[in-house]
Amino acid sequence: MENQQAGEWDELLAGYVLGDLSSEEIVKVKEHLAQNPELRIEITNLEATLSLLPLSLPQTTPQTTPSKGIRENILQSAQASLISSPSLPIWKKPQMWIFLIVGLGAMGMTTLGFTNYRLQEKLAVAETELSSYKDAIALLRKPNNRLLAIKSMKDQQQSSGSLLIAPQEQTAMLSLQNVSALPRGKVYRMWAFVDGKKVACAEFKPNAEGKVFLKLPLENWAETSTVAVTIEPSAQTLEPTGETVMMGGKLL
Amino acid sequence: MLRVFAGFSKKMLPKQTDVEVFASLKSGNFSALGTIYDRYGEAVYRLALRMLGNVTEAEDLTQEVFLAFWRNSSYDPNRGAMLTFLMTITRSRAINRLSQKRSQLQLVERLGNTQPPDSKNPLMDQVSVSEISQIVTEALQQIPENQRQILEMAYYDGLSQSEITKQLNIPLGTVKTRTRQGLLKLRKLLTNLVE
Repeated sequence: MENQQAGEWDELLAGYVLGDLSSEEIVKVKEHLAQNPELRIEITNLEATLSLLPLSLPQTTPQTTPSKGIRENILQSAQASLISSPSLPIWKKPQMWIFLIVGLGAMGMTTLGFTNYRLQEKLAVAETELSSYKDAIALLRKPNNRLLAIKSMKDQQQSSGSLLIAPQEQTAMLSLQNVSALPRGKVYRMWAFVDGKKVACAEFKPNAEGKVFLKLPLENWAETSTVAVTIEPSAQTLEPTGETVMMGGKLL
Repeated sequence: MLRVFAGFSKKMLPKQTDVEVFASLKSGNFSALGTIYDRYGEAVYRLALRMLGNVTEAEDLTQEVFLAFWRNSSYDPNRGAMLTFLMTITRSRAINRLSQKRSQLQLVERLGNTQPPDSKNPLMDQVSVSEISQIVTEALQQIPENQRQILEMAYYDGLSQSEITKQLNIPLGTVKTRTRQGLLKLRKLLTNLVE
C-alpha cells in the first residue's frame, strides 16, 4: 500500500514539474512538499531531467549547426556592452531609430491645432508633453534597452502603445493610447512574464484622452520579453484575476 | 545500461571547469563567453531550432540567450549545472516567442516550472555535451515510444495535455499518465547526471 502511495506521489511530482496538475492537485502537492521538504530534491532532479531532454536532438545535420557568425556577433555585442558603447545589434538599425524618434515627435505634434490661434495655444501643451518625452528619448539612446510593442487583444479596440525597458537605468517607460476608461473600483494592471511567472509591474488608469504615460521602476522584471495588461479590482491582486485586454511583445 | 562513467575521461573537454569559466566571465572577461558558447552554443541552438522551427529565429534566440547570460545572469554555479540553466532559459524564452505568435496567454501559464533547477551534479562539469547527448539519447530509446512522443510534444511544442489529446485522439488521463511515466523513467535512467 505504501509503495502504491509512493508511486502515486511520484506521478504527482512529475505532473508538478510538467505543469499538468489540476488546481486541486497543485494544492495537494504543495501541502505534501511542506510536510516532506526532503522531496524538493526530487522535484529538482525531475526538473534537471526535463532540462536535459533536448540534448537528445540530432547533432550532426548541417542545419543543427549555428552559423559561424553567431559566435562572433555574441562576442562583439558583449564587448560593446563592456565599454558601454551603444553599438549593440538592435541599435545598429538606423531605420528603427528614425521610426522611434519620428513616432515620439508625432505624438507631440498631434496636439497641435490647425489654426494659428489653436496652434499657439496647443504649442504650449505640446512643449510640455515633449519635455516629458525627452526622458524617453534620452533613455532610448542607452545601450541594452528593449522596446515591447503593446496591442489590444480585442480587434474592435484600438488601444496600443509601447513599453521601453532600460535595464541600466532600472527604469521602464509605458506609453499607451486609446485606452478605454474603467468603472470605479477597477484599474488596469500590467504583468511581466519572468521565466514563466507573472510579476505585477504597474497599475494605471488612462487620462481623459485615453492616454497613459508612466515611468516605472524596473525591480525584478528587467529581462521580460512579454507583458500582459488585465482589468483588476483596485485592491492589489497577487496574480491576474481579470480579463487580459492587452499583450506586449518584443519589437526591438 | 548507460555507460555514464565509462570513457568520458579520455576526451574531457575543458581544462577550466564551468565554475572557473563563469568566475572569469563575472570578472569582466568577455572572452569567457566564447568558451561558454563553444561548449553549449550548439545545444542551445538545437533546442531553439526545434522549438521555433526556423534558422533565423533560432540563431536570434541563441544570441539572445548568451547575451542575456553575459549581461545579467542570475546563474549561480553553486546551485546547478550551467548546461541545464542555459537549456531551461532557452526553452522559457522560446515559449515566450511562441506565445507571442499564438497570442495565447495560456501557453505561458501551462508550462509548469520554468525556473532553472537548483541541482549541482559534479559529473555535469566533467562530461562533454556530446557525451551527455549520447547518454540522453540512449536513455530515451529505453522509454516506450508512446511515452516519449507525448513527453516531447509537451516539452518542445508547449502543447497542453488537452491539445495532445486532440492531436493523438487518446483520453486525457492516458496523456497525463504517459507523460509523467515517461519523465519518471527518464529521471531514473539519468540518475548519474541529475542527482
